[in-house]
Amino acid sequence: MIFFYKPGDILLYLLLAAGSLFPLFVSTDSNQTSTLVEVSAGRSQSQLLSRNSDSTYSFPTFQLQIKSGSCRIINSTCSDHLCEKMGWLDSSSSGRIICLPHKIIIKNKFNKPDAVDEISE
Amino acid sequence: MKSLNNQTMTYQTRVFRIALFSALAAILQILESYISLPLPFFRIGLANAIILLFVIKKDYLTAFFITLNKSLLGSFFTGKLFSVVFLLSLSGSITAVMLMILMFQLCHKLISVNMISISGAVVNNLVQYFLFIQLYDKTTDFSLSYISSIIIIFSIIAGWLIALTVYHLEKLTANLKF
Repeated sequence: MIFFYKPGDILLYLLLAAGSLFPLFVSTDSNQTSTLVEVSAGRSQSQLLSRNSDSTYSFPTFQLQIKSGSCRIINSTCSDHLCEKMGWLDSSSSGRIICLPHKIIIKNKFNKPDAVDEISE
Repeated sequence: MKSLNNQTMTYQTRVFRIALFSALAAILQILESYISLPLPFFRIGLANAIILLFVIKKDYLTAFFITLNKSLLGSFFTGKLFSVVFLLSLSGSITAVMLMILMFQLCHKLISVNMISISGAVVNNLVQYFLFIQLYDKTTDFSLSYISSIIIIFSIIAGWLIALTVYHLEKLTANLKF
């Protein structure tokens, strides 16, 4: 059917497949685990929270629950509550929890592979 | 005098079309905002079917104005006018419609309407995602983020659904005179 298929489509399908698979192959931090959660709201300074102990942090517009190394948003004051539906963010995930109405991004803080841990003299 | 009348009629017809289909697209966008899908932030974007319909009818100006009006009306009635959501929606939609027009104009003999629809959906969602990251989270390394993969995969599904809708819409409106 001309509406649904023409020869040039194959090239674009290949391009889209490459574009969608590229980040999965390039990702190097899949085995890394994070001990810190970075909470940033808009353009203000981001905040680092430890995920080692189970606790609930209160922010003006939402609460962040940390349990067994994973974290999630609860009791958000936004209208759609999509951020709550995004569920848990575990310590090895490179994903993020985003609340668009409140401009909040929650993600894991990983150490870069080439970062210097300690300098000895 | 006759040509002036014809010109006025064409102008009036276009205004009528833009108004009618902008309202339809805005209604679709508003209704879709109330449908909860398993994945947050994922929208099919059925309103884009109307825009694509005018792109394949080569009425590019109407398609462009419907895009603008759809974002304005949709955001106004959902209470998000001039918010970040509106800015992202508008920029994504404009980029997508420009791409669809360019693809259809330059290579419609090589590429199907389905692929044009998929490309529009992918670009729409990726532009919104990258713009949001640029505005609020500049530290993100795109190569490490699998979110863009998910966006592309679901945009392909959305593009397919939109193309299917346009296919039926085109058959329905083939003999329709405004």
